[in-house]
Amino acid sequence: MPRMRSLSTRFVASLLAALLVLPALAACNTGQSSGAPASQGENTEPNTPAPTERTITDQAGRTVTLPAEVNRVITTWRPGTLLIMAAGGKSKLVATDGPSQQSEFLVQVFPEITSLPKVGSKKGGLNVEAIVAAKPDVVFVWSGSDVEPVIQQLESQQIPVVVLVPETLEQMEEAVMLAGKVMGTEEQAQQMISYYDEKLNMLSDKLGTIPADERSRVYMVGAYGVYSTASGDLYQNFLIEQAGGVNVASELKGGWAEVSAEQLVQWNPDVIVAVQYCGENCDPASIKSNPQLQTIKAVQNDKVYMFPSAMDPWDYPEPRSILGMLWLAKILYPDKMADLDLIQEVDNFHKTFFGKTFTELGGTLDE
Amino acid sequence: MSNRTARRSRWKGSLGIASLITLGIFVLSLGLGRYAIPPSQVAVLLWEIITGQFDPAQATEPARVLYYIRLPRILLAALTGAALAGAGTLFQGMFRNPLVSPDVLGVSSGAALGAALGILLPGGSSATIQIFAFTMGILAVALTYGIAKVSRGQSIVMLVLAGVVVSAFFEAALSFLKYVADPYEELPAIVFWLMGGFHRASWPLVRALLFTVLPGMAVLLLTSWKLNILSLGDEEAMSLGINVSLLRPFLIAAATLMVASTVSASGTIAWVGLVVPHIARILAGADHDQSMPVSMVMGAGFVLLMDDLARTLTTAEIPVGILTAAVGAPFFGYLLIKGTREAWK
Amino acid sequence: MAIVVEQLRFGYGPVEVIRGASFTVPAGQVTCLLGRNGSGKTTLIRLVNGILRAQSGTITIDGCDARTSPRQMLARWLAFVPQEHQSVFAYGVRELVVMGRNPYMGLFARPKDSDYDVAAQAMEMVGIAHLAERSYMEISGGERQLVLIARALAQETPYLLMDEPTSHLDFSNQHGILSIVRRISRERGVGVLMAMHDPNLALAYADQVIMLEAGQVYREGPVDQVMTGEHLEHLYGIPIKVVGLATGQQIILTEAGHA
Repeated sequence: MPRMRSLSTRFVASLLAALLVLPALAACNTGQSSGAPASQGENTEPNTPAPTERTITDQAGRTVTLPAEVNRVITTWRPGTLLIMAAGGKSKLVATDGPSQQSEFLVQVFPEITSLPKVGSKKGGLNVEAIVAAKPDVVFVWSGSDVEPVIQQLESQQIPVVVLVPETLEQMEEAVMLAGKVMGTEEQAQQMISYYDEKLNMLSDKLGTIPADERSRVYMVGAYGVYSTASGDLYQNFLIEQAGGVNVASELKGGWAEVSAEQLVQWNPDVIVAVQYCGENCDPASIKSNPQLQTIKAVQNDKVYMFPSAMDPWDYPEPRSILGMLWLAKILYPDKMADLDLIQEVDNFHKTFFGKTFTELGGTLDE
Repeated sequence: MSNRTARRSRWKGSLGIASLITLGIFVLSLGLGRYAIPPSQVAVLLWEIITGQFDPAQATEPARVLYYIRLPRILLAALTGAALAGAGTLFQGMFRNPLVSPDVLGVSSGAALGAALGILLPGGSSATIQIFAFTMGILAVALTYGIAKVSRGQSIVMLVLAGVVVSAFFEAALSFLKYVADPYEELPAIVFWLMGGFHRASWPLVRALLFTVLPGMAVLLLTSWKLNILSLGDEEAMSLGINVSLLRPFLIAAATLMVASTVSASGTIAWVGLVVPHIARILAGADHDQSMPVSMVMGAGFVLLMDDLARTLTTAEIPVGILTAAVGAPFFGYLLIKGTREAWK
Repeated sequence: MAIVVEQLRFGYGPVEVIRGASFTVPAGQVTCLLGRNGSGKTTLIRLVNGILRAQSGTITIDGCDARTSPRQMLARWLAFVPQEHQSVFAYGVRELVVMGRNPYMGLFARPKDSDYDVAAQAMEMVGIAHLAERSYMEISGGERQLVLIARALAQETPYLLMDEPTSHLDFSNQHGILSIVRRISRERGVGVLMAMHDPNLALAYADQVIMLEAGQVYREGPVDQVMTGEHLEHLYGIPIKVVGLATGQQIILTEAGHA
């Protein structure tokens, strides 16, 4: 009987092996690796002739084949949802990630969003089966190594995936145009781009001629508290410059950079602006009463502000950041920007691209 | 002799039951998922796949979901569970310590650091990250072994201590990388990887893992009786004719190959390698020849079940490591309280 | 036919523990290794066993060089019974005893029927057949020692090394174990080398004695020749009297305690 026992262990080993190897062998037999060719096109019924197709190149350089008409869209991360909505895709959304449905702003703009199926989140992982079950015509995803497996799995289901990379203003405009093209909402997408171009031109017209030494020097309080700030490679740096200002920390590198109180005092910025998500003790009142910062010009002249908006930060590379630029420009150069009615501008923007004015959505511009 | 027969049937019973349960979970998993596929269709598809009739180019959507998304994931989960449980049984026996997990020699810390490096380096794809993780996992164990060997021969105590040192070092390095990582993309990607999960499953990945995990499992199963001798301690093992300085590194290598590959594919999944060997010992007895196969089968079933929950419980994906901890830790506490006098002191 | 040790030297760093020990362990006889604490008895056993590597000197077993033999071969010549075995896992008695068959098994092998038969015989000989199904952790100290001896027996080796097998046992167990050991030696022709802390037990059960003093062999030879009062006094450093009793037995006494 001990002989049988040695057999038993080997039996178990071979059983496990068989259970695991057989399907893999089957995979070899059928001669396909995962990831069916995207050229199949159709994604519901096999053997039906593909409707007219078109190919586009997404922002990750991938060539994606799309059906002629895209009516069912899934977004997988909040900035993406914002972007798709701004590009005119609100009515085509059939499912989103969980966090998108928890964004106060998005819910205000599109109350029905909460009834859409949720497909996971960027932070915790996307549920590919849920995505497939919602039968999308196209899925928009962010760029990164963590999303690669999702792309592969969706491609194996012959579902087109479009990668968007809105990290700089240029890229964001590109993304909006691309989304418009994908969804067939080029008009609205173009509208947004035009709006951006118009405003950016207006800013450079009015503020471009200010000599460098007369520009307002700005310190932006960053995500990790008063002594973290936007280094030169962040979008926020670009934002400040577009608004005609100079980022005192522009020579630094590496995302949100840590600085000492001394450094901040030495920089002596004219204006201090804190992002909404800066953490503790970084609101204007706390900054103004901070004993270490009393000598700074911005504190002395009461030019310490919170970057809008309270509902959703505008300093990210996303469609509403143009409003952030306008707001900052008005703060830095109230005379030159005197004829800008900020709240009207903001209301119009929201009405055009999100269907309701900012005020209707519950937003305010006071802290 | 009748008592021996009784104990043998006890083992066969526990192996049989464990296998049956795991097989049941396997079949159940095939039918579970956010994409609804009726059981009859699942059965048909499974048959087609096994008999090689399945042709992905002609398949319907449910078949494609089953074939490309669900099946690889199930296999990955089962392989991972079996590998972790088997490695746990091996290390607990080898280090004569029922509180040891497969991470004891630093493979997880190494793999985590490797993944972080892969994420931070420009042009990192999912595949490069896995390769980095795998390589660093192996490197960490090699380093542990080297340190132990250099200091007065590789006794068990030295190996464990060296493992502590190496793990601490790699974890410090990981903290540093997290600190310098870009907070928008890289840091979340690192955190996401660390949480662990089987959503990366694909056929190429499963096939690659078969090459590393199956041989490792085979080695562990075939030498499981020898593990008994090894578990007596170096002196007695040597006196009984075991060349400890050859067998131990050989087994460590086999186990590390298994664990490094599963960790690089699915991240760190805790508690499996610690708790499942205990349960296997309680059910099948202390003889590793009996407890090793039971441990592997149970590990596969347990992780499979946890992953089923992870992908179907809510609309999101719950990281499977959270579930294994949520189930594993209290169960372990229960075992301690109940006093597993049968299995260990 | 003997274990012959010549000029064995061993030390931990600068501290030499065994300084040129030479002795013989004849086949088929019980040889006791006596000495004070720290004389190197335990170290010597482990050197013969190969658990420790001597720095110089030779060990030959029936003519073969033990120092160059592969571990598995060595285990077919020498079996080792430790002082005690701390068990982490709840192995059964039979499971432990059959582990003694390991030297005859390949890397991927498992015990066969014949191995279990040998184990059963060993348990019979030592008188623990009735404990076969019990867990090692649940039996008494004396019974555990018998299990270790049975395991060593199952190794079917011509020589047996024991490290102070009786120091943790009560009076009756001490004698019980040692008479079993002597019986094994007689009936199976096994040469036994055991480190012993109690000279009286050596007197009662050994054929040969090796007296170890500070890492060197002080005296070696048959019990009745070597275990004299003079030698014992030198070895232990206290006044010793060897007293003959009417029964023909001898007993070793010192002055302390009741007169």
